[in-house]
Amino acid sequence: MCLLVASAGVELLQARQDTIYMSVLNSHKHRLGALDNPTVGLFVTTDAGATWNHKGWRGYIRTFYTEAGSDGTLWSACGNGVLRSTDRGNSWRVTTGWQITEALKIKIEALKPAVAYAATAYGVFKTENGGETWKEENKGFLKPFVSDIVIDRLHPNRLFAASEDGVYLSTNGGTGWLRVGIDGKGVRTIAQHPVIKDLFFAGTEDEGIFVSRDGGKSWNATNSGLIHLTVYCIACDRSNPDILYVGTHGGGVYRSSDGGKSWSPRVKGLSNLVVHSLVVLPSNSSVLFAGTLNGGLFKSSDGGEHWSFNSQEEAQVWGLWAK
Amino acid sequence: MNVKKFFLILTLFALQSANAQLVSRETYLKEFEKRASFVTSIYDTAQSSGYYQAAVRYAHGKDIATADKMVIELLRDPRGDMFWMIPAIGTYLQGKDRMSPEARAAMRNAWKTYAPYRGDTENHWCMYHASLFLAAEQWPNLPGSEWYNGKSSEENLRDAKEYLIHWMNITTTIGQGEFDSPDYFPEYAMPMILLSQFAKDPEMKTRGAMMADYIFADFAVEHLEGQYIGGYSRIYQPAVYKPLLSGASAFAYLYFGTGEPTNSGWIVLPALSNYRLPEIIYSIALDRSKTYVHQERKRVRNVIRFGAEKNPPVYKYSYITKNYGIGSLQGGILQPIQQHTWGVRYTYGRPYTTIFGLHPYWSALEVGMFFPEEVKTLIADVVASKGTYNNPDKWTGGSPYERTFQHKNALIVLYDITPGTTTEHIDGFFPRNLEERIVEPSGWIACKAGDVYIGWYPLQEYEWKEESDASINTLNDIGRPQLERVKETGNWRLRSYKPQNGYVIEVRSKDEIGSFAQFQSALNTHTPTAKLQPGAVSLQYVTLSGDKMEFAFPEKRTLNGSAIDLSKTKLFEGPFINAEVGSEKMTMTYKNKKLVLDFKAVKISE
Repeated sequence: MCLLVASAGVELLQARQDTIYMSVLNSHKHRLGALDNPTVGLFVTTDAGATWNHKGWRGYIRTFYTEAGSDGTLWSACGNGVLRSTDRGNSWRVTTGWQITEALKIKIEALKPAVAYAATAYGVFKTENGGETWKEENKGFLKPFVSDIVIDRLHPNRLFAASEDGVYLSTNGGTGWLRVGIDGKGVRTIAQHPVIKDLFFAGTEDEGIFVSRDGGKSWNATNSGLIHLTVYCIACDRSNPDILYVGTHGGGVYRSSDGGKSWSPRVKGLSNLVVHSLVVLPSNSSVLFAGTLNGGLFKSSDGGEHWSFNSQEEAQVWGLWAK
Repeated sequence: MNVKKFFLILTLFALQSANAQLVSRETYLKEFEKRASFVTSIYDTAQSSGYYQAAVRYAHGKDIATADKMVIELLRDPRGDMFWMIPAIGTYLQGKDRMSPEARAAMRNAWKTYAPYRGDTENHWCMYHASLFLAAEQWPNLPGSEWYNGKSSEENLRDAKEYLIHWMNITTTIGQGEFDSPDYFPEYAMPMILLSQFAKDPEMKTRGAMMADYIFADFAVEHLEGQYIGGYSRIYQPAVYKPLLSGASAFAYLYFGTGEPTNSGWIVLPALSNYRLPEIIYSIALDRSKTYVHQERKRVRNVIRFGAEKNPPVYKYSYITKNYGIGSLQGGILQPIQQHTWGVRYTYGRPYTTIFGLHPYWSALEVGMFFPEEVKTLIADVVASKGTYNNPDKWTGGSPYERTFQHKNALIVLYDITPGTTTEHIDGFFPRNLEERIVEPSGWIACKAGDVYIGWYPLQEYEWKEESDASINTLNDIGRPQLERVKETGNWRLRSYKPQNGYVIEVRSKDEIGSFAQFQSALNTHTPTAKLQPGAVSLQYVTLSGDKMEFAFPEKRTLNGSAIDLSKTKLFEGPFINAEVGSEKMTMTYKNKKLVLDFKAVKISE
């Protein structure tokens, strides 16, 4: 995943120690209510994956994705709702009530870290007060199953949602939504390019990758070289705007060196080809992590040319995020 | 107690319960106490560790030191999510006045440090919130730092209460989602019974008792000697072909005096409870002196994608006599994985007291409708816990290519299966202990199960397959042992490979039609006329009772020339239980007795 902190059109790269947050949904050997307690949930590394610290939870609450706000607050999207930690993951609070379940993604507004959007199986929910209260924001969705959200980093009231039947846009902070492309297709993930502000990508179920080069007004498939057309995740190399990676179902990782016009596989050493999460190390874009479904976490130190198993044997590494 | 002795006693109790009769309230209560004492008796001497073993010891004031030791040891590593929460809080509520300070502290600490999953379906949420509500009442005024979810006692109490009232509201207005499940009945009964016994909040105490009454009444009206009359939202193998093995049958034993006693832990907390069934409910469950039709409206559990409606309606039709019941859902995907669309249940020939059919369908689309994970990996995820899901020989599951039309004791089932789907055959289950299974010259298969006769008219060619034991070492898709056995030796499978397909079912008892020969004779003069073309599957049939049924797949049903509008089906409609859609009210009537559960007023009135 790509992260830049932006302010009034000026993009600022923050120099800091890389921290990667890995959300492990499940261990393959586990099932709900089972008599084994898998160590799943949130894992954090500050040494590029040499060691991972388990930060939550004693139990199995189905952790899909974790992201940090600019104030250091951690937010996790989980089966139990949206959780928040203000002490680096040492303690957590479920901020949502019974109404919000199966939260799949959480996105935090960069300059207002009390504002967050949850993408859930039941649509979009928004908080403006750090999770004290949440409001359902589904007006305009034909089908509100939302897998992912991106907040336009230059215009934080502009949001894109990856829904069951296309890409939706809100221009008023989620109050209303309008479908703007990929009509009727299941969109699994959506991302804004970290350098080129009007460039957006969407990964779909069975339809490959779509690109919008006009700030989300029009969307076109860009699948040259992409054989596996279910795309779960997109990552960008912020040091080279032309280099992109996607994680696919069955095809592992694909890389583009021409800004998403064409793709070629990068799977050497990747023993599980269902890649659900990808992250490029912010301080060293040669280093990537790929989270698989049921194969654990893999690492590449050469831009995806070679991969090796890193950790979480047989686990479903649903989400990765770095700062 | 050794295992042999236990099963001998089980058998004796089963024989007793088979003769359960309507009795006075006083006698019922005495008999209930005997049954409750029996089902808990195993647990207060058992040396194996478990919450129920501890709960019974606390409740009986017996061997408290062992109970404390068990609780402390178990709470070192809690596991099982909401399936932990219910027995844990139940044990605490039974034992808090007798347990040691160390055991009490261990229990408190578990609710601070162990984060159970809330789950993704109705029974999970019901158990989770009921137990969280009771726990928050027990430990009031604690800050969020003292709870696993970071919420204060008051916040947890409020959130849990809100959910429970929401669930009761939706159930009593548009129907339960995981309805009529023989295997999941305990998951609803147990939390409601705990609320009724232990909630300090008077409203929730009353609501718990009312909701327990509600789901027991729902069972009672479709109950036949310990069996739940299908269709069902969810059932596992083997209970689908051995109906008395289900959890609901264990509750039928305790509360109705029928069914099978069990050493399952599910029944322990109810057996220790002070909740007692109103007389009218067990009267409805036991009185089969008159045959009746009962109809219900339920709902599909939350459809989160690939559907136009979040909770489409489910229509259930049941015909119940003293010897048999035949019930059906309208067909289609109404629940994921474990749906049972139709079945005949009868009183003869335990344990194989059923005949039913299905299209053993599975798909990523089906599970994707209900679970948020990626559709391409969902089947493997599901198979990890529901091992038979993608097995073409499975005996559970709904299908988008299946529809039913039932009138009294005649049922039509039609299939229009799109080529290329996961399975292109249909199956029928015929138990090995049928006295007769004769293929008549007319094409009818005439079966005899004691005084119950079942006719099955296949619309297409078929073959018989004798079931053989599946290896106990069978592994599922992820290499783990199969949890559910697919087959058992000796039962018969009718399999037909034609995608445009169907059958007609007729059921009669000796009381209704006379001898088996008379039944055979009647069948042979009533054969249906069918059209079986892709996209145009239909059937006309005049029942043994003379009613003309016309059915065109998927939804055109006509009875004696009048179109059937299923959307007019009430929540409950029949001689014993009635409820209007949206009413939040159930009215039970039995002879001169009446009981009204009014969830708007939170009031029970007679």
